[in-house]
Amino acid sequence: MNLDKWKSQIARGTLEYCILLMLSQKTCYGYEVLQELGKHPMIASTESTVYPLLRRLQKEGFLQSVWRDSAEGLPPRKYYSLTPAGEEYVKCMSKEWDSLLEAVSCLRGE
Amino acid sequence: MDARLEKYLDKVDRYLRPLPTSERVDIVKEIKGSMLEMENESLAVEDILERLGNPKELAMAYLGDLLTRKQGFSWNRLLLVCAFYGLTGFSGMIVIPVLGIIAPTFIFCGAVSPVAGLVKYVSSLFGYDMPYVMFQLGDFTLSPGAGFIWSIVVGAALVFLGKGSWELLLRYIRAVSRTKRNLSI
Repeated sequence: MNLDKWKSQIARGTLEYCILLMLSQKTCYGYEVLQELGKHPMIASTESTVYPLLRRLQKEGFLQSVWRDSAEGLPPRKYYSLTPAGEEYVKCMSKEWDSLLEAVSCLRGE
Repeated sequence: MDARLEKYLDKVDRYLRPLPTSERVDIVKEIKGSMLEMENESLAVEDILERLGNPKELAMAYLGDLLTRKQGFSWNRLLLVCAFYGLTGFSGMIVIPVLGIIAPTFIFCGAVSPVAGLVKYVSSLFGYDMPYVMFQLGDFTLSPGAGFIWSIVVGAALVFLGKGSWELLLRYIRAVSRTKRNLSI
């Protein structure tokens, strides 16, 4: 069965939306984003997918970041937050997401 | 931090070479942060490395956009590269050896000149006219005292010239390597 492949495709397609949603709730540092994602096996990801994605979203102007020193014994952390453009982007994505869910539930005969 | 982790970061940094230095530093710093967070959670080094995966793949994930943007062969690029190597090849053949010889020679002569002037001057004070050292321009010869002062002026000028050519050489080399870095087929 090709279920795993399908699952990873969905995860990849929604990861951007998930991360932006998370950051719209609160400011997070990269590793924190990974941990939050890790709580949900379906979208659990590693550095090699999330960090470059964060960087790209920042380059596209949806995120802003700032380095902050943390408590002693911990490394400095790079905190990401949404820019106004990012917030607008999440709103639009949410709308699309709703219509996708609607379509799926309709097809399920609900 | 564990040497294996340092080595991993080094490798990532090397694969990120197409990016500007500031960006590379930022990326490596963030990955290093992740490593330290995991170490804090007392994850074993092996587990950290396994989770991060192949350093080349990690770096490529950052370069992804860049590579697709630059893909494709272009005649303009090829011409540009040819022009670059042609120009630096020929200019380098002259500029590097000339400046490379001129710079130390000027500095050396600049240092020797006041010493020679001093020797001539001191020996003249003892009533001895030193051969080999003289300050002569056509028929005009300077006295040892004036010659000493003159030798300092000339020496300083030579050192200045030597240093200038050395700086020029460094600038030339830096400019070439910078251009080369930005210019890959």
